[in-house]
Amino acid sequence: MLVLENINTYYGYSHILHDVSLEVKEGEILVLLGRNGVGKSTTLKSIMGIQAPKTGKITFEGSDITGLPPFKVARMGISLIPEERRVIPNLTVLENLKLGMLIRGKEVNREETMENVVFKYFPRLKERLHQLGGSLSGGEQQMLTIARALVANPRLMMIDEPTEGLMPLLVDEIGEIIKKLQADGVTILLVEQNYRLALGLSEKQRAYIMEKGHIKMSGSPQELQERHEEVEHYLGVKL
Amino acid sequence: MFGIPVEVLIMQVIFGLALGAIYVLLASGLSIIFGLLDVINFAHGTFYMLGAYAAFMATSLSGSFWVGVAASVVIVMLIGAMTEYFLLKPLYGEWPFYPLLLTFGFAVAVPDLMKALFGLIGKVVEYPEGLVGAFIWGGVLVPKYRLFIIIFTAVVMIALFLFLKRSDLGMIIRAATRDSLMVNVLGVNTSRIWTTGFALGVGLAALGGALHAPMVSAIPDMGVEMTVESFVVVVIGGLGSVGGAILGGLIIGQVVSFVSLFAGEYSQVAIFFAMAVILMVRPRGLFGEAGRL
Ligand SMILES: Nc1ncnc2c1ncn2[C@@H]1O[C@H](COP(=O)(O)OP(=O)(O)OP(=O)(O)O)[C@@H](O)[C@H]1O
Ligand SMILES: [Mg+2]
Repeated sequence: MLVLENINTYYGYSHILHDVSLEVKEGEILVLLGRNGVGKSTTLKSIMGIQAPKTGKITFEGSDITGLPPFKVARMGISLIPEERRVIPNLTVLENLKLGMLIRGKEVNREETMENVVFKYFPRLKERLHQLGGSLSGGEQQMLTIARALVANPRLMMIDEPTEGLMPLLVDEIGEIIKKLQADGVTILLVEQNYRLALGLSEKQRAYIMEKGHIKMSGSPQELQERHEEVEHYLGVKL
Repeated sequence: MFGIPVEVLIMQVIFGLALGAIYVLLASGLSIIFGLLDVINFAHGTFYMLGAYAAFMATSLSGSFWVGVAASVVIVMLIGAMTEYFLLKPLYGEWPFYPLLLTFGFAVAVPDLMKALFGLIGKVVEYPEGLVGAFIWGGVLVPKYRLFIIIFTAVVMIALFLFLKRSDLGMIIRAATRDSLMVNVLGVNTSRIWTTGFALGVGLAALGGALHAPMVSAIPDMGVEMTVESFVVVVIGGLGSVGGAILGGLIIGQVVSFVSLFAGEYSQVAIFFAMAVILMVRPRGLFGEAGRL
């Protein structure tokens, strides 16, 4: 579905991603693992067109999307939930969600989407609709950003560290939501530091491990478990 | 008060409101542009001047003041959209100073161009029929045209608020003011939103120029002081806040009006004095940050 071939991405002169190649298959959850600062977020930004790669090629469902601006990538059916969440603070929850729906133009029935998508996944947002985005708690903001991405009806959702800074109960809730998304047919590219959560989500999942801007290894959770010493070396933690 | 009859004071308030209305129009436009593009538009008064000239030409051609005002806003919005698209857009992301320098250059070059085209003598725009002169109301002399400006500006501001709060485009503009990249990631071509926002902002300046034209007549340098004054208004109100621009405009309108009653030559000084006092109390302006759009 999504293929990265040898992409190299820079911030100014600093070379961050080195010949990164990876593939996301339709229907799976692909997890990108690695220590802080290895370039996981940069990989997502490269795909989204926020920080376009200098060389290499990105294809989504057969079309070349390398270097397209973010709004065009979004219109292809890819959504990004950035690690800073970026709820629009001066817009209400409802307006944040409307912003997510704009991409679908006139075809979308806003009320119906609210009922069938937003409230189904995030019943808690219902009471918060007219509150400003900036006034939500961290957990609620994370729910809202996922909801806002979801109402755009993407085929691929890229989620960057969704559980960062959340309390354990909410972490599990986010895990459940990701499972539900996959069951509903959304393909997921997930960056996550909570390895236990990230590697126990589904049967249909694989992981890539990055170090200093390189992809070092990849495989199913079982395969990684078999090579756990190597994995632990790259991640610096016990699996 | 100070031996001045209360009727004169009330009239002075009306004068101040009318002048304040012009400031409100300019400053709210300046504020929208700053909020959206992070560019301080030094050419804002230039677009106000262009608005006055466009009103003069369209009024002379059509014979109707109202057609003149409408045409002026449309023409200047188009000029604004082209300016943003062709001149400012290539400069974003370079050095933050470049777009600012460009608007500065625009503010120097365009008035000179207008001098070459129209000469130095002011172009008079006739008051619209029915709004000439004044009426007496409870002993107070109320100039009809000034009263009209006050009411008209109030209506425009209400429409602007409804647009920003209720329409999709208004919602996008408010969102892009805060986090343009995220709005882009959500699938909106924010580049086009910037062009639209710039056009909207200078359109408001043009409306100010067109409405002011019958009172001051159009001259090439009329925008110079106006840029500074609307900048002061925006600073008083809080950068990027439309609500603040309204309040700031009304305050400065009154300051100028009353200071000119006592000591006309000090009205410019008084504006800066008012700004200094307000910034001492509220360093980010009256509606700073929290009140942004
Ligand atoms: N805007 C930027 N300008 C310059 N350097 C940056 C920028 N963003 C990230 N970097 C650098 O690029 C490298 C990779 O950053 P990136 O955010 O992709 O890491 P990450 O794997 O997502 O880390 P984390 O787990 O902390 O989120 C880091 O060394 C970081 O300092
Ligand atoms: Mg990151």
